[in-house]
Amino acid sequence: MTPERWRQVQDVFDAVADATPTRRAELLAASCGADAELRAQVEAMLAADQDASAMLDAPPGQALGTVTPEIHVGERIGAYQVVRSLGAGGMGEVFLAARADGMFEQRVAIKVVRAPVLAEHVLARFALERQILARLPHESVARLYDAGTTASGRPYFVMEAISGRRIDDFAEARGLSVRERLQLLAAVCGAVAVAHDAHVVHRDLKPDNVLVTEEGAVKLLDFGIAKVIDPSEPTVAMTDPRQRMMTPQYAAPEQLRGEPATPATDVHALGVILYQLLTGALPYAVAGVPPTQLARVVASARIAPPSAAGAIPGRPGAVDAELDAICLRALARAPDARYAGAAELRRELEQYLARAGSDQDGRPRRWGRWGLAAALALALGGAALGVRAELGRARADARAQALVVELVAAGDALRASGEAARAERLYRRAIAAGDPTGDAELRLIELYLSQRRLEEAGAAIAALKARGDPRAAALQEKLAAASTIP
Amino acid sequence: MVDVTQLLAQWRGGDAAAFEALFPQVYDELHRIAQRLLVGERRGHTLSATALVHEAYVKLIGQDRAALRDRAHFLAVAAVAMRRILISYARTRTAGKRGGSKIAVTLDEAQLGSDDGLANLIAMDELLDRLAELDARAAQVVVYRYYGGLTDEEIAEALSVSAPTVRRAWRAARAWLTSELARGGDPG
Repeated sequence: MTPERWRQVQDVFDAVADATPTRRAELLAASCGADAELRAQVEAMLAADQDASAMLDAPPGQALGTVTPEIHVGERIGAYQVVRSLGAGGMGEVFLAARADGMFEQRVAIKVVRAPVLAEHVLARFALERQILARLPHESVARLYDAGTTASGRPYFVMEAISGRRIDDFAEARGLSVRERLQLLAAVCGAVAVAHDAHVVHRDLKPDNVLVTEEGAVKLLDFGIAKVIDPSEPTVAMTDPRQRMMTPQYAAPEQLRGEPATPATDVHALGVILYQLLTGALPYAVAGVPPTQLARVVASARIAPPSAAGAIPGRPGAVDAELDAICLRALARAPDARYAGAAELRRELEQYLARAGSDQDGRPRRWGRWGLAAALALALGGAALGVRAELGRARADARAQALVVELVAAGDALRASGEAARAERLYRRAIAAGDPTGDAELRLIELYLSQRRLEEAGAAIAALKARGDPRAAALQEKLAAASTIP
Repeated sequence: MVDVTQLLAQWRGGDAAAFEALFPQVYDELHRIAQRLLVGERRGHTLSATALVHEAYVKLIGQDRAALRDRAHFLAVAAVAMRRILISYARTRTAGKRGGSKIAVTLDEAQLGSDDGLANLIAMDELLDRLAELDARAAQVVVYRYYGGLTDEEIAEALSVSAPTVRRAWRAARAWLTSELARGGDPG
């Protein structure tokens, strides 16, 4: 086609697109005449114009995933009929379904795996695992009923349908106190511990997989699924390590190195969730880090103690040194240095709660963030205004903090690609934006030291020291060492 | 708050720091585009979206400053960057499937991607190049809307045309691309 021809095609298309069928035929005959090719072209376009499921109408990411939904409402999967979609994740799509034969009222969740894995391998591993998984029925673990293959050959899992929300969302929405958050996590640890006792490691624990019901009961999803789907499991020849089932933000250093998962791996993930519950932030700034660099970044990352990482906005000082220590031990780089399993972490949390509880006897209950604001607003008769302001501020805090993390990560990426001057500016912006963890200041100091800008390094170290950051001392030594070299 | 247009003006005027100041301003916009590109991902799986944002940002750093006049132009350029990144991902994935080059891809990506989807994405990209030869503006409209998620009004602003013109171009381009894709895309 030539541009002239395209204009001709477009003109005819425009003229007839909105015409009635009769009028359309007349117009086509009139404008195309004997030009059958032109007419065929326009008619193909008119048909496409009516196509409501054109690829261009869906986000391109969907084309990257699947072109057309393979599973529709009302469709049968095994003995079940799809009621509606519950959402999609990295692993696949989840549907709410009911028994197709109407024998039981039972509703289930069906997870259809999207990963490019061979269904027979998944099913073979599921057959191996199902005995173990069947021994898991703990009230806090969503039951895994069955597995199979859809008509199009995708593996699926039938699971207990849970109505609840992510643990972090739940804590936020309910305005839980630190104490209540710890109790919640201890319950999660209890459920994971049952699995650890049965030699089952979750391997992909994250808030998405830890739900809390309306009544406050914890429910863990996807237990055992990561292992069944993971193609690098020994039951099948190693295919592609990139297909390992994990979520980078919650993965332990050994997982990122491609080593096998142990109960200590789950402890690490629980540590990340604990950190998130206490600070609203992730312990590592992995956002934007290229996957090839993840293991290296996590291996060398300094985790700021939760108490220094900003704490839950509006509640300074709620995290004490003891709690810092528990959290950092769960997050220890070496698996051996962590709690051996979820049971040990749970015990530690419960002991901490018992000690902290006795301290607090007779003192007023620590109000949750929203709870306090709500109580104040009520007391003042000020309606919900105060609450809204508090909510807004908390969101702004979280945003600012996320921005700082992004700025630092972007700065790191630039620095890694040799753009030191640009990196420096980003670090400065992060500092200007508050730098709650002191990480930006730290990066800036390292940059100064590497460029032998010792005076500036000295001033920045002094600033870090003034904030009471324990990392200042080591940097001071580095500076001293650098100063002695002529 | 300093707006994007003003920062862009400063940057074009030689103020390199202005571009860094732009980052937080456009971060939300880039993230919005990336999220849209990768719909269906829950939180906890945001690595790909964030990686996209950073890649787009790095591509933008290398951009011709004159092309970035205001917010609409910035978004338009971002859409082009997103298209390039996405298509190189799709090509990498298909190359990987054929046992070819192993370029680093994000972890989540290994879990995405059916052969058909990837093939269609690449075919659509090639069709778009053909459309650009026939009608550059129509192709731009498609890139901005499909890869950038820009509204008709934003596209109109970026291209300095009216919104009805954008809608007309979109409808014809969409119909042509869809019919060609269905035909298997033989050049005709």
